[in-house]
Amino acid sequence: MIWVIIIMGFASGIILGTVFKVQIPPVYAKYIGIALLASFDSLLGGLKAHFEKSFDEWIFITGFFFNAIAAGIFSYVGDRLGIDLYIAVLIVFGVRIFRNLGALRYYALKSILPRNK
Amino acid sequence: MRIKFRPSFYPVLIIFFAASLILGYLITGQYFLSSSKGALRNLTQEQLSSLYTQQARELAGTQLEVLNLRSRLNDFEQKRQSRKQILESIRKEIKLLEGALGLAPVRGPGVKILVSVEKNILKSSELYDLLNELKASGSQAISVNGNRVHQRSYFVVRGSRYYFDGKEISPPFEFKAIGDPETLYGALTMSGGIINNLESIKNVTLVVSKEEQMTLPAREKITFQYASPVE
Repeated sequence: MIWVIIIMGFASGIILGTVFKVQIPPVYAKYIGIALLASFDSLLGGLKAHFEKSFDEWIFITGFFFNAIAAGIFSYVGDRLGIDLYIAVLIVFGVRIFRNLGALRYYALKSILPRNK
Repeated sequence: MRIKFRPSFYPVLIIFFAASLILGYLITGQYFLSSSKGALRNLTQEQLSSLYTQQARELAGTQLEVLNLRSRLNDFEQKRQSRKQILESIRKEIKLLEGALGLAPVRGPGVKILVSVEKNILKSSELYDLLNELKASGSQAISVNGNRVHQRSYFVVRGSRYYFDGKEISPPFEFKAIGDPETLYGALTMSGGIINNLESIKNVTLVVSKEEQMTLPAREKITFQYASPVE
């Protein structure tokens, strides 16, 4: 059920973006990319929490936006200061994404193959 | 797989749907951006600067070429203009020559001489004299009985018939000459002049009148059968 919802959400987002031709200013493209990474991590984290039955709507919503905005601002400030802070954000969220993915894989397998319990 | 259908589950679904929708939307935006300007975005600063230099050089070269071409265009335009002027002046010259040779009708002020002959017969030499006097006193175009005089014009008198350029003409003869009316009139009518001379012949009367505006017709077309221009 939750997977169907997520795939539907992605599909509608992609369709929306294709139909309305999102115009991201190239200057901000890098920060939007970083924010995207953070949001993706939040989504995976939310899914994981959902499977662990510790999901909280407000934590997810605030985390989703706050992480994205914070990651964007972080890399922007880094660029202003001449430090490649976005690499730090990249690594942190990259690692978290793979950890969340691993956990999700575990729950997905558990739900598909109940014998492995 | 256990699916819980309790109402408290719906907000979770909505939230996940919204979050993935936003993600998909942003991903699409990023995808379009990097696919349209990806080539430049992936270059390093040095590559970009060298690319910029190269482009700037190309631009300068192209601008120079534009300038060159524009100046050449200007040259051509001027040449065309001068050619047009030359053509115009040639056209004017042709018009003038046509008028002078009798190939085109001309008009202007001058004098009209009416030569009435009764019984008596004029000699062709007397007609030539009159024509010659008109030429000598500066007429620029002459016609006899409506026939334009040109460089090969001639009078022939056979018995009592008069011919001009092979066409029979009959008195009274009307000479029209374009030129300065005062000069022409003066030259013709001075004592001892041509009018005096001709009028001394019996039964010949000449009436000279100044005209402000006359139109002389064009001569017949030139047809050269035997003579052809030497290249």
